[in-house]
Amino acid sequence: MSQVITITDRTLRQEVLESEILVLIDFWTSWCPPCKMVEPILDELAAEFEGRLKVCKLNVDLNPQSAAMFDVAGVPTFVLFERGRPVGTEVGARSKKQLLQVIEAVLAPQRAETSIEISAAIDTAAKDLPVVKAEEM
Amino acid sequence: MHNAKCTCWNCPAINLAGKVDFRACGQSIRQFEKSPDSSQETYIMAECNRRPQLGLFDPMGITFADCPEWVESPYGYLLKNMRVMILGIDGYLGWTLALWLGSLSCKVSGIDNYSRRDCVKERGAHTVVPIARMTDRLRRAKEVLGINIDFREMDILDRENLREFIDEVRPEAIVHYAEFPSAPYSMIDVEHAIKVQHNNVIGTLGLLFAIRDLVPESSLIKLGTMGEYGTPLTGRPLFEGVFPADAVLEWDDRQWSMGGELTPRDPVSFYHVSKVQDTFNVYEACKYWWLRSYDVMQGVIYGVHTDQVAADPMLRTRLDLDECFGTIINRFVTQAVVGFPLTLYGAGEQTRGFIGLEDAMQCITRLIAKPPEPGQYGVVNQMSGYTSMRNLAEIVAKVGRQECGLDVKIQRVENPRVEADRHPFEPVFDKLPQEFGFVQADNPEEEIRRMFRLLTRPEIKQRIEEKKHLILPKVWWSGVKKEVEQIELLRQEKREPVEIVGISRSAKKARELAADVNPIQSS
Repeated sequence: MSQVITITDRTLRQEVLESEILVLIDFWTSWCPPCKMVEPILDELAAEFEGRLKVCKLNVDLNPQSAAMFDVAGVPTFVLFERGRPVGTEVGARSKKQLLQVIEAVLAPQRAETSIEISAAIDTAAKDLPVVKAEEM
Repeated sequence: MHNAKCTCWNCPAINLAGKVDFRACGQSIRQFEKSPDSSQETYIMAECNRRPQLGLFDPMGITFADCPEWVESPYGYLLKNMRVMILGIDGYLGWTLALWLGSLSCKVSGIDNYSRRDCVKERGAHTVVPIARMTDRLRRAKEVLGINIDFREMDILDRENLREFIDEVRPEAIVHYAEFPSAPYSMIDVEHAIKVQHNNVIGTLGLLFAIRDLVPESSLIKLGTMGEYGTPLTGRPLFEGVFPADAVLEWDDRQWSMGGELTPRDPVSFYHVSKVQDTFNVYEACKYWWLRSYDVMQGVIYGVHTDQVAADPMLRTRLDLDECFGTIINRFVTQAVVGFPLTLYGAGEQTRGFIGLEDAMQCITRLIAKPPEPGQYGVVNQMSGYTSMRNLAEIVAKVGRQECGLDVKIQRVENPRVEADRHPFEPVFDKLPQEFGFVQADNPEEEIRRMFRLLTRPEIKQRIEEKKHLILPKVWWSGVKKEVEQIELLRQEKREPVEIVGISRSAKKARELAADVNPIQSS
């Protein structure tokens, strides 16, 4: 059964930006009660969308680079990535139903592509990320 | 082991190094004393106080299971010779916990100003199970159990000395029991209300500043009470301090997740108000200063037994029968022993959560073993079951008849409190079993049986007889000065009392769901 993956500044590129399937990142901190309450929902999503959605969590205090890259200004923040591009952002605790709506909207076939400006911005920011080979992780 | 996967991020034996800057999240910039080498990729680093040779390293890198400083115990991995400070170490819980943790090789220290002894004396009562003077207790603990306790007589309000002691001991966990634990005591008059609120609120506030300045990595296990929530008549579940993420506020055709927000509190006395104020103070301190705390919403405690307190008469913990300091099951048993009708207030249908003494010790140990993460304010509802007062009286009466052949009667008297005496009650108490591995060990009937065996000893029964006149409540929430009057002497019930429900509705639902999904595994 698929589980929530803990990612860091070092593994963001490989796990998220180069992922072939949809990725949901939960940007969290240990001092944030809403972040804790969302954890069981993320576990359920990881299991229910196995093979179609990778669910990741990233501690913003320990990984400030990734957080800055996606303008995380509050926790929890959920960012959905498709082919390495953010396609949806939700700030604040969300119920499972609310997260499902965001995920299903992206999984639906008829949907606008990510804007060219956002793609270019991500490409620029991603240059600063460390490149980690799989065996080092 | 429930805490095998915890890392140095949870461990109180580390210092953090580096800088945190997340002002946007409502957090202030925090610069730790040391800075990591600029070539390090992780922004916040850890330094181990116990193994300084490791240098600075990734705080998520080593698990408790891998660390030689964390050793296996019946309650999860426990930090070797962990330094635990108990505030209020002379009390019913404090003393029991000191011996319990001492027997698990913790280095126990503690303070007390004997206020519980004084308050009980002030009410004209005494502990029915005799307890020794502190010096004798300490000596006996060493002789019988080989436990050394570093004790200082001290008031929690004496901030200067408290800070000095904390700095000297450098506790890795602090268990805070140093509060007045009585609703009726806080409702006697204005002086008592002020005394309770001042000690509880100001004591805790001073402690939080001391932890911030001296041992910010230590975990604070703070005793709250299920009474902070009250008994809302809507019947909404009493979640563990904060709402789950699937709790949604609906208004004006819109929806918001309530996840992580503090649930409403509805305290039922000035004592309970002091506990609620503590909740907010601890919650804020964790947010402002990255302190780590578990706020323990404890159900009504009962019982006399742990292996350690039963090891020697001089090691016994106290047990009170008076209206202010006796808890309900303990009071019922003392009443039954001397033939006093078990006393219910009003309809007697008030429902409360309960936990046995030994189970409470187990829970606190498990919380100590899995410290919160930096800045984490966690809440647990610490109870093993719930039932109505009336049912409880029937259980005690049944055991009293069976165990000691006593003729136990039950009476209803006027309710001196302002409370609903019939109400819905749906507590959620899933975290301790699900996240901390808590398994209920106390069997309520067995513990009540054990209480009867101890309290019917002639010398103890005599002590109960001497204070029988203090059983009926005299403190009215309204301020009226009069004794309560009997409403009804209940006829002996033929029906069997129902058991104390030992599982929360949400956990039961989850089990049923699991059974539906996978009937083979769950059978």
